Amino acid sequence: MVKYIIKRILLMIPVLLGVSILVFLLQLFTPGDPADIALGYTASEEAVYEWKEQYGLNDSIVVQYGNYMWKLITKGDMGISYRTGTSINTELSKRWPISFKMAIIATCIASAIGIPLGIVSAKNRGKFLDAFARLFGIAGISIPVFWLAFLFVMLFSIQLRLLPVSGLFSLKHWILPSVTIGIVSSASILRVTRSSVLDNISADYVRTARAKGQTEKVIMRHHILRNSLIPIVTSVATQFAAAIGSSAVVETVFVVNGMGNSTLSAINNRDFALLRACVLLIAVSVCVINLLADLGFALIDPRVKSRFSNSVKHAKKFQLKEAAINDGKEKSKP
Amino acid sequence: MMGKKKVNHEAEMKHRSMMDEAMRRLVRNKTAMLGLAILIIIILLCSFANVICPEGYDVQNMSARFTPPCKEYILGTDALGRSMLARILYGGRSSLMIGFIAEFISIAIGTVLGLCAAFFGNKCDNIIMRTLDVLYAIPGMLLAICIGALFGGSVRNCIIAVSIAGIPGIARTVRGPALSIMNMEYIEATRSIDASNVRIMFRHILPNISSVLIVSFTMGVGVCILTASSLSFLGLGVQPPSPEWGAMLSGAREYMSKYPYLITIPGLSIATVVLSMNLFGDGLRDALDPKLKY
Repeated sequence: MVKYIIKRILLMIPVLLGVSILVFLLQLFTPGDPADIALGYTASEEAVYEWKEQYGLNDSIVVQYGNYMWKLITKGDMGISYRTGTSINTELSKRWPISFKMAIIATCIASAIGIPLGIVSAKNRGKFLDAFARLFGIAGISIPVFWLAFLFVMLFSIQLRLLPVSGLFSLKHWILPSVTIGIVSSASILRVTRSSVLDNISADYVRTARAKGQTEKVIMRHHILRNSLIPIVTSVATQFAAAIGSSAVVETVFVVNGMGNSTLSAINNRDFALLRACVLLIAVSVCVINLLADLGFALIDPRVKSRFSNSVKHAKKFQLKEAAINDGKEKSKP
Repeated sequence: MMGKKKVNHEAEMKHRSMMDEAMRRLVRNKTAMLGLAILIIIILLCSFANVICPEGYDVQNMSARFTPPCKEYILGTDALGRSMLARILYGGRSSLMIGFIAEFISIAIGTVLGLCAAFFGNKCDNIIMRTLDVLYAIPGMLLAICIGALFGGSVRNCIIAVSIAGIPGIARTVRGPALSIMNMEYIEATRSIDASNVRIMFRHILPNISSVLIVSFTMGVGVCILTASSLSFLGLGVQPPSPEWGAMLSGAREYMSKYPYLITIPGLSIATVVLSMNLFGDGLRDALDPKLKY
């Protein structure tokens, strides 16, 4: 298992390197010089040269990339913002936790709504509750996040005056943005849960469990859910990525100073140093969440665990076990 | 008459292809047909926008600003006194066009990449899939924002951004089934009669994953429309004054408390189009996926 975890972490490295190269390439292809935006179009050539020298922009792109990665890996330094000239680390250390926390809360809300509703829907297949859940699911994946945010603001802030419109000053301010993302994400989780549970609900082993007189509760928890958990966990991880990805939109609606907001301002100001840092941070967190989901699979499903554990001993044991089972099957045949 | 019909029906029953059966299931699915009907109506309305609103989307009537929906202006007017109906219909043209073209591009590229990865295996598979892993590590929305914004806002760049964001997902969904088909015996048989690689890929593997492609296309158009409207909402997609639903929403933000219809109408349009697309897509999947027949 430890070997598997190390292997997965090592596999993350090329992906992240790729992401960093990709963001560097974006800079190459983009029209518009960051110096023009930082200094204004009227700046003299010397001033532009000096400014570029300060940020190392006169070097070739390969040297720039090398320097950037060296600093990032050895010191964890993400450089200085082209626009403000301040350290990106200090800037993002304030903004990053906001978006990360919001995405986590939203994913929790989404799972809390989506998974139970999906199970109930699958259990009552074809009945009223199922129709309601399906409607919720399909409406949820069809509604643009920002529109739902506006509707919530109009209802809860303007009409009912219950919750604040914008900003992030108290606990109350967190409710609307995270619930908005949560509800949209819950729809996808619900759909995956429903179809995954439906896949298993008529399986042979469920009939067997019923035949031996197992209670419905235990059948649902230990037999059906356990077997349909993998797609659900994948979908939760995907929804986390989506929540972080859509943070730019939601943060614009609720005027939250998070990562999404930095990303947008970095794009508008051609502030590539900041943009690189934002995209890399988001990519790292998405990779880590996917890794956690993959490790979750191994916890949930012993079959996955045995496939990934490299130890020969274990594999042999597994093979022997399987052979024994097959033997048993053949013997039981008349 | 009746007798003849019955005979025809029976004849059909005997040799009905899988696609025929799927179509039958689809037509019988009421919600899917409802989605299709709504979608067709919206597409027709948007394509005949110049007939319904011959004056165009940009005529300003400053004396009629913020008119709520009434007889003269069916959907009211916006902050510049422009007819919301005209802007919604013309905006629908760009939203739908971006959605369909972008999804078509990502399906085309994603399918070729996924097929190549599955067919050539080993090195090719590794190169393609690891490259796509890089794109996959960046959430689609963020990727679209980056590409769309850096290339500048226009309909063309919006399409490019949205379609690139969709490619990795499609390639992955294609690769899986393609890999399992690669192990089938008829692929071995076609190899033995010396069929070219391209022929095997596009004549033998592709038709067998067509149901996966059709379903991901219908569901993907909705996602593309949503992503494109989010881009426009952030001011990074279609630029004003050309109308686009997302851009209309962001323009109406300041008047949200006084004139809520400026928010509800464009949002409702996006939601309706995507919902009808998804309803139809769900129906298609149920019809094409024999596993769900129980």
